[in-house]
Amino acid sequence: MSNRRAFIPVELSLELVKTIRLLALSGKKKFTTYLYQPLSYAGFERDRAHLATTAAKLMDKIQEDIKDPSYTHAIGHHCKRLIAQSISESLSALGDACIFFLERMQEMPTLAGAQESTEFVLAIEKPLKEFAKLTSEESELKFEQTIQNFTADDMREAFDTVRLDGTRKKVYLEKSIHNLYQQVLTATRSNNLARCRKLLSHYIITYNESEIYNKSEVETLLLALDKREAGFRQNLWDTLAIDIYYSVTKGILEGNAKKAIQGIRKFAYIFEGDPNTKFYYEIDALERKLYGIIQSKDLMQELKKKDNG
Amino acid sequence: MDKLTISQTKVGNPAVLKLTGEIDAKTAPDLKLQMELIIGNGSTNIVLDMANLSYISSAGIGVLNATLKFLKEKSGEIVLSGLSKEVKDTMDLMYFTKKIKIFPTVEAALSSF
Repeated sequence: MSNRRAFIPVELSLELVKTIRLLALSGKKKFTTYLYQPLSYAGFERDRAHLATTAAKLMDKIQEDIKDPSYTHAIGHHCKRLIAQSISESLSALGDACIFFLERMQEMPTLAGAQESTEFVLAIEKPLKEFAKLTSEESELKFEQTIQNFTADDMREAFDTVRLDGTRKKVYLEKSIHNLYQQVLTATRSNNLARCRKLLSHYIITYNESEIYNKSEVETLLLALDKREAGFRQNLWDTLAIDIYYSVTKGILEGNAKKAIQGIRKFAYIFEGDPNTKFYYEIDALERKLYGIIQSKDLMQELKKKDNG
Repeated sequence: MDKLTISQTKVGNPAVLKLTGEIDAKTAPDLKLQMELIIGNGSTNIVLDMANLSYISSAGIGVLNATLKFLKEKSGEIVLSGLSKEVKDTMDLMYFTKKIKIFPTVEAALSSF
């Protein structure tokens, strides 16, 4: 039996959110097995409040309560009631409620250490990780099957980076990067580290390959944030790896190999072969299959033509 | 059996490392360690003889890129020689050939320093 955690780290709640999103794509049977049943068996259904309301309304109410400091201590309890309510409502409501609870844990350290949170994660962590492992094994096979059917054009499109092929596009991109970066700075100044993490993660994933990606500024910002919150940098790196890996897996599950390939390439650019990166080996296995197929179908020359064009 | 064999065929500066096999997520850390070792011994210019290398993944390219950046700060460099078509293709796809110098032979690589 797994031990109950004292605190739910951001990267764990993020990983569980991503896994629930993947689970939702995998059908009702799996959703019931890996999420509904574990929560039901852990007694969450029993705690149903019999309220004349819906999970959606409860989420709105909790969101309002979060703004009021005098309610902060009760958020964990309300989130637990939300899960109980959503279990009897529908699978879709249950998924939304679980994601809502986990996302609030990422934003509120007090909630991440609350008894209700650790109890909730104890119930779902093991089954969700079991599902993630199964998915990872299935993904490799599915990925191989999908890219086997790729044409040279499909492959070229998958390998396209952010291209600055016109002044208008370039100006637009520079403006977007600048706006996003200003938002990161604002979040930093107001000490909103959760928002900062989210925005930085989005900035790095979206623009890392761009010519005007501001790497030295990002490094400076990360150093400063790491001083404010020990482990911020590692945490952000874990968040990025989880995000990219799940985007790859989601791409595979949806039959969108282009998305998967773009994710693999982003992973390589951002993490530069650091073996301590989360999902390092899983991505490597997918990449080997990808290059194998590119070579066997002799697609490399076509891809290079586009690169040089 | 290890999938990557690394042997140092020339010590000093520049140093030459001969790579045989494959560089992937499992073997990339060995290459990193070996390069750190020779950099620690004072080499700032390194030739990687890749004539017997059959595969490189982005993990390997990541290690090369990180070491290249580190050496450039010390006015040093890594150059590659004898790349097979497959290895060069992969590097092209990752845009790595735009960042690093490539030579047909070890001798040509050595004479570039």
